[in-house]
Amino acid sequence: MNKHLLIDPTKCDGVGICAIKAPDLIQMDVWGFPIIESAPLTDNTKKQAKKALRACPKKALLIIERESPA
Amino acid sequence: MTLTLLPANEIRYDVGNSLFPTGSRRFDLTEFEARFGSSIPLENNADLEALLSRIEQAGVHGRGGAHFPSAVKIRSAILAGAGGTVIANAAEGEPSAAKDAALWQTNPHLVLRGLAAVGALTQAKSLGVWVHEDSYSTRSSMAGAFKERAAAEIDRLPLRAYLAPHRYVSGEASAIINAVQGGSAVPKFFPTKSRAWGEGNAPVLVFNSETLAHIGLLASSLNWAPLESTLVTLLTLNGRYVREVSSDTTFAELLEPSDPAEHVLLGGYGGQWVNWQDIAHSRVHEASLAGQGLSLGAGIVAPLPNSHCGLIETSRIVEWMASQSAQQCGPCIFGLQWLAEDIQALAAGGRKVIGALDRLNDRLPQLMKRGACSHPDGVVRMTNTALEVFASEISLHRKNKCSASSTQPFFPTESEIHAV
Ligand code: SF4
Ligand code: SF4
Repeated sequence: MNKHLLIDPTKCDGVGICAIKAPDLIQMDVWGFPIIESAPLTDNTKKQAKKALRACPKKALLIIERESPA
Repeated sequence: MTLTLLPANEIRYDVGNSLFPTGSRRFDLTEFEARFGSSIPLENNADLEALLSRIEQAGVHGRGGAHFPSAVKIRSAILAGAGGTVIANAAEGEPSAAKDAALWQTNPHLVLRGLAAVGALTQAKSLGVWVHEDSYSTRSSMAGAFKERAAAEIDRLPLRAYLAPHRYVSGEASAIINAVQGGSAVPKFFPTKSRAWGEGNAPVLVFNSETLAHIGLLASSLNWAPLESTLVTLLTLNGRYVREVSSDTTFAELLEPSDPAEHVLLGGYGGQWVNWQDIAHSRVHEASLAGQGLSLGAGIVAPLPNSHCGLIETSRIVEWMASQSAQQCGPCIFGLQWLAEDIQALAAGGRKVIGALDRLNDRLPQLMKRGACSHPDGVVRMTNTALEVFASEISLHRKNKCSASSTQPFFPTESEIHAV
């Protein structure tokens, strides 16, 4: 089981605080919405993921455990 | 030979196969039972296990697009626990698709038998049918079948129809689950697939209508050997046909010689454009197509008439698909709107083609897997294959030329369907 950062795209309003908190995990697309790295979290990116999760005003981010990136 | 364009709201059936009655009217319950027999007994665990292994051995799989093995889906629902709701999805979203309408308007009892069987297998507490509120012909056939079943006291579980707003994505499984659980009929984000039927509420299990018809055959006492067949909606200038095709049929055999085409849209508006020569001798069979990286998707086969331009048609489809977004996810709302504009630029031709192509190459990959549902993914896939298959048409358009001789739209974007 690996940990992954996921986004509920129906909640996200695309301001992008998350990308500042997790630069190694999140890139903004041309429309201003975050693209999330699909690879499992590492020790380093796990910290960033948690920061982004806390900072998101829409509670759109979540960390889940699963087998593969799917 | 002159080709006449039938109104887009008419479909014709291929008659006499196992799923359809002979003739385009509805089988009533008496006719249905005369032909298919009564339902096999599902009284005890041994009966249920026997049916489940028949489903497994026959290789029944989802026919809505994902082609997931039905036995696996049923088994994991059994593990999730009793008390759920099983839904027959009769709301094919795409205006070119007609197989749900064909089944429900001619043989609703077969689908309902499959639905009741899955209900028994999963120990559901209720059954439902999800249908577009404006699919009047389908609804009236369905209502007739419901009445006959009630009068004959066939269903042990409560059965009801759920009316869906007419939008492409309202037939999406997570939208159905959302609505049946009391939310609105828009797709919902589920972090993992398996939780999709659970999530605290009573589980909701959604099955495609054709899948249920196949399960209905297996649950019938008259011995309908599990003929491996698939329903295909064939869209041509001659009209729209729903055919039951056995798995050894090739695409060349499926099409009339009067439908020459160089390119085919396979699987529907979220499907793939393919060169006719690449599939002409392939079998109309999901597993063998998978070997070519192709899929029947929602069962639509649409050979583009040579008189029509693939870029213009792709542009019309993308524009319509963009209008069908449930407007919940940023990448889908803004991405599809942009996509529609740049594909329109390719269709219009001239100087803007190069810039549009550059942006498409850059941005299309960014749109994959970005929505709560797979609506944008389908549009991206279809567009990607259009860019490959119509590469020489794009060069023509750049020089302000176009190979098409017709300006009549080919693909329908309206969808009420009546049997003829
Ligand atoms: S912080 Fe939250 S709402 Fe803002 S862009 Fe990131 S995920 Fe979306
Ligand atoms: S991806 Fe598009 S269609 Fe699907 S839920 Fe999001 S906005 Fe709606």
